[in-house]
Amino acid sequence: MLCEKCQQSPATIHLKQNINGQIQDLYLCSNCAAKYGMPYSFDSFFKDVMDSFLSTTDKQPTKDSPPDDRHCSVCGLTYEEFKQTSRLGCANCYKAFRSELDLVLKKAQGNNRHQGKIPNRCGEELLIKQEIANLRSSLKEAVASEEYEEAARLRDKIKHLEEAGRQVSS
Amino acid sequence: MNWYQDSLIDEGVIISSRIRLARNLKKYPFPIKINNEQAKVMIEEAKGSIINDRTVLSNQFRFYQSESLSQIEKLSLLENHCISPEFINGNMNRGLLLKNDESISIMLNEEDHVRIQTISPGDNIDMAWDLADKTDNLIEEILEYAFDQDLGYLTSCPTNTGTGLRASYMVHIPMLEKSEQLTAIVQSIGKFGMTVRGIHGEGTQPLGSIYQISNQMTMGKSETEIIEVLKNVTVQVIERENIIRESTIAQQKEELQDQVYRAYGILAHCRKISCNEALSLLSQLRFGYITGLLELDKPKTNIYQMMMNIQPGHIQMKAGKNLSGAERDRLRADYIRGAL
Repeated sequence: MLCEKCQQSPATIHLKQNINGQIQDLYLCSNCAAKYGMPYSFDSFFKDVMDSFLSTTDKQPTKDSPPDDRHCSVCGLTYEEFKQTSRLGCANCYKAFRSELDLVLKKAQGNNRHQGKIPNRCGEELLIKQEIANLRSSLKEAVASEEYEEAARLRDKIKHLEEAGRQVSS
Repeated sequence: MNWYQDSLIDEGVIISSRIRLARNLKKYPFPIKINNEQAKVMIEEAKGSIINDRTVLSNQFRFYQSESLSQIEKLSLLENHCISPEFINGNMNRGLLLKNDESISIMLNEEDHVRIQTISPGDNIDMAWDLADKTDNLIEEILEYAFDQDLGYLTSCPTNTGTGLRASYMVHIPMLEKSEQLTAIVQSIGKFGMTVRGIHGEGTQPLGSIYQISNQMTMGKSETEIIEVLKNVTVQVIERENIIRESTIAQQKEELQDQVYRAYGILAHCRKISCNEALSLLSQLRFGYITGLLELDKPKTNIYQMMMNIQPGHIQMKAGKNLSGAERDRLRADYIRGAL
């Protein structure tokens, strides 16, 4: 549906106003909503979450400490910009702000280690590593449920892959 | 046949299944830092990974530069779920690669460089994932993604880092909505890293009792694990909706039947109707047909497809021009009368 104010952009925000007991529903696009002082969206919500995590890790500024001028050396994104927008500017930003991101990812996502798909280009080495990790967890399960034949089979497979991994990296 | 022309979209609580993958190319700054020149080159490169002499898929895709699309065309694409509000609202140049049957839609330079989206009718998320996975691999044959061994696919927003996956079901849950159990459901599925929100993504009022159940967490689990959890959570939601339907029909059949027939009556005869009212009444119709309360012949067009066709972009596309609210309301009523 279209924004009720400008009738141009799609409405992405639902504003419920209570004015002297009268409830008014307004459907607005993000630009018009901002004019109401209401930029609330999931992005804003995540930004609030980021702000609260980051502010607890930031050192308290003192009179003598310099302003935080950390930035990404590749795209120039500053730490302040990152805090403001919750957006990163390039792949290198992940290195530049790694410690904060690790913390935020752990808290907001519950985890800071990728367990999913690996691009084909990242080559055999990484794929082998992930396969070994998967097999190790299956091995643990097999041992726990006393399926020793299966466990032995898995152990051999792991050995084989570890050897293959050594050959690829050399 | 487009996904919304498949009768599967009207068979149950689940209207459609969707997979979205967010990817960035390694060698360009992400959308908030990329400049116009780089964006043009990046879009050309991404376009070339799908539209080229090598792939069979190539002639099933069309490419659109965002500047070449009119506001009405963009609205229409948004209403069909081919693009996001962000695609329309942004200032930077963007591109769109759209498969003819609209099952695959690839946005270029939106929040991330490449956003692959696949939609399947009904409860078919494995098919949607398979299609998205293959499309992802196809693009990667030509282009190198920004990827980190520990953090996974590097996205503009840390909410997507890792798998870059947003898996979702679009569901029609009028009884759950009415029973006010939704808040409790949102809280309980939140524990599984899942969320429920309105039909057009984040922060909107659900229209026509249609919601989207999707994952929020993108890291720490594999793609198939995330999809499994989503499936399990959705099965629970569907069960609850069906339980409430059964008990309400058992206790208030006459009342409910009257409601759906009245909805049909208005839709079949009104001369002008607002989008909101039409969506609400069509929702009643869909509910009536699926539960069997409405014993009239089904229209040839799928109800959910009608719910897209009555929206402002579609109405104006059909008329071939911009229309005022009043004109749209009249044409909307004309279209509905014709369809029923």
